[in-house]
Amino acid sequence: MHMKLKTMVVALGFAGAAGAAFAGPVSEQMLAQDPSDSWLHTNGNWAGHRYSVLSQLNNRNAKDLKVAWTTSVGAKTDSQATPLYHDGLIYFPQDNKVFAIDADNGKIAWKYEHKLPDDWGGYNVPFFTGKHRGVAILGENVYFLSNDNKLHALNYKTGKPKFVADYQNDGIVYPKDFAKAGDANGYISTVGPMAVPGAIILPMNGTDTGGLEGFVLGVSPEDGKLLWKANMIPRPDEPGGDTWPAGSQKYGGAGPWIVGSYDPDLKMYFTGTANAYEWNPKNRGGGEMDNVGAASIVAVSTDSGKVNWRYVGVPGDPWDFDIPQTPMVITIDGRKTIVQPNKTGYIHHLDAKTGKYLKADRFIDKINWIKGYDQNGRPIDMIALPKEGGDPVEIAPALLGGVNMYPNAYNPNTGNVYLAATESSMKYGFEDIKLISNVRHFGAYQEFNFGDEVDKAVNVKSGKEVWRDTQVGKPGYAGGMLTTAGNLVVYTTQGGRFTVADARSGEKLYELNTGIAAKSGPITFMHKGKQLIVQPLGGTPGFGRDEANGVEFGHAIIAFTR
Amino acid sequence: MQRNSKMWFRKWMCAVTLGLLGGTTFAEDAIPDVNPYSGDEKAMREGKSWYRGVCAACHGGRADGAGERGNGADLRKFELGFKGFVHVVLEGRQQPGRTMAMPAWKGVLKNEDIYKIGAYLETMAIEGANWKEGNKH
Repeated sequence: MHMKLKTMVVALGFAGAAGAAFAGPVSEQMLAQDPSDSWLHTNGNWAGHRYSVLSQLNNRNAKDLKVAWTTSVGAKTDSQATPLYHDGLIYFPQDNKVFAIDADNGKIAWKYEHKLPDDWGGYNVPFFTGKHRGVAILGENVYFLSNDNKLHALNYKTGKPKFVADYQNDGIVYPKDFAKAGDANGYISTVGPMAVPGAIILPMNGTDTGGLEGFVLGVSPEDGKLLWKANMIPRPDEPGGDTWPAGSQKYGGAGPWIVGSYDPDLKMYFTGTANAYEWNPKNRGGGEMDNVGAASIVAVSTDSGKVNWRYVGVPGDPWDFDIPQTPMVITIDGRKTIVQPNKTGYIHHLDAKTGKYLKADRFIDKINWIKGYDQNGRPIDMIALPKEGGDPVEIAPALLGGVNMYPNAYNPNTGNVYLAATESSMKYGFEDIKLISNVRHFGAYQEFNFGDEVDKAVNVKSGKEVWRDTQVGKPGYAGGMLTTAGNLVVYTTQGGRFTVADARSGEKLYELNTGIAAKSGPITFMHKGKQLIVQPLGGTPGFGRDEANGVEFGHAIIAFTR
Repeated sequence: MQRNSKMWFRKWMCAVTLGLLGGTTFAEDAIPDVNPYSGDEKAMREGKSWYRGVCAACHGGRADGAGERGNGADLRKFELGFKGFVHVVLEGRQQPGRTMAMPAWKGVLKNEDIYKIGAYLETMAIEGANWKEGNKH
């Protein structure tokens, strides 16, 4: 009897621990796990996999999915955020607001609204305003980075702010109306923060709206105070510092555009960076200097902010081929490897510790800007640049890339990466560079030739394509990929078709035409004993005009379950 | 005829007076009815450079609205006439219920440069476009 009671107490203890594991304040221990009951990182886990260990929904029963509820946050521009879920609430940023949505029924539990400064504005700025790609959660705080680069720590149950931190004194100023301000140029934050042990990571990404340099900030989770500031573009005395003409670094771009990844052993944050600025490279070496740090993958020590290494994927970047995609951390043959599918049309593999180039696997059909990468990770036979004011050149892919900001996923069971890819080309030419206020303009233009959206699985080790789902005649990218231990891959096409497919074969198991373009990755979690999949939708299809998809501007968040 | 001349003179005086009082009103009222640079090769080349430098990001290199910064109007089908074009560029244009908008270029671009951009865009017009008619906005 005594033994039985003891066993029961122990069993209850375990049950209690398991039940408590994903309720209440979020611990660093919770953040370190692959997503199961909760979804605590924009990219699912620190390694950037968007892989859930849940299997209640799987390839045998996905055909029985049904809509649990739908809701809307009344979005006024593209919905690009991957939500988080924890302890009953879904967190979703949109239009400089944060919404907490009840996972029971889709009702808004609380809303936090931030007002942008009165003099907010400028060239390109309406395009970015209201877009956010995620929030972070740690302790009792949901961390939100508003477009004007302020960090808001909101109580996860009530939405009440614990603090709002501003980094203008740290050199991070916001953009102003360029018709009225002589110093209109400023940073716009659209990327989300990430919580790691001891710091909230803030990528300052909006650097090519007038010419700025990219930084990743590490700030205190307690009060938002700056701990360190890592420069994506090397200083003259750093490796790669001599790949920029003097003075060009300060407008050189390299914004860390997408939420990166983190390795707890190496204590490094890995981020891709955006294009070099201006697009016309004449002020930064004319395409002959590497411009290390832009169109690069950069590793930052999260203890100190010291940059451990930089790898430039598009040396001298004359094409706006930034490579900002999430660098996934995947162990391949015992080596921690950075795996990054990016705009170039290749999946780059680097040693995570050293940044050493390992290989680049081509993943789209149409590439002509180079013939491949050599053993040192440098492009082979890059196409000749157009002359300023002369005829444009035709290159593939277009500057929107083989993949763009729409997140990819990795499933350790199948060994596949799942890509929101597209085929495209463009005519691309250079013009002189206009300067208005202190805003430098691109000095380049493009004429897009859109091809088909192609959602696909590629074996990460062999680099070989496993399956593809081509949206014939419909350009654009899927909103983002999710994969699970239930052998599922989930994505919604640019034309709004929510799709659940077998992760190994690509066989479609469930589809729903939502009628709204997707620009955001889906998530999955357990709520009251049931596995839910939540897909945010919204925005205008494509980057430009895209009647081919036959959907108009709209917004919705849809939850699916059995 | 005399009456028309008087009306023209009154309008001109009004424009000059408003121009003295406030530059922007003058800028609007002083817009000619037709584009003075239509068909002018040198002006169209300069307009092309401005267009590619500051407009193509949203409206696309082909002016079809396929820009990297998304969803500008398809200017090949521009139908508001020359004065309507200048007005939209100067004042900007909001889309109800949407954040994305055409910014106002008043005080940023000179009227002359806007006319040159218009002259370049005329060369890309397709069926349905109207660059000739006056103020339809």
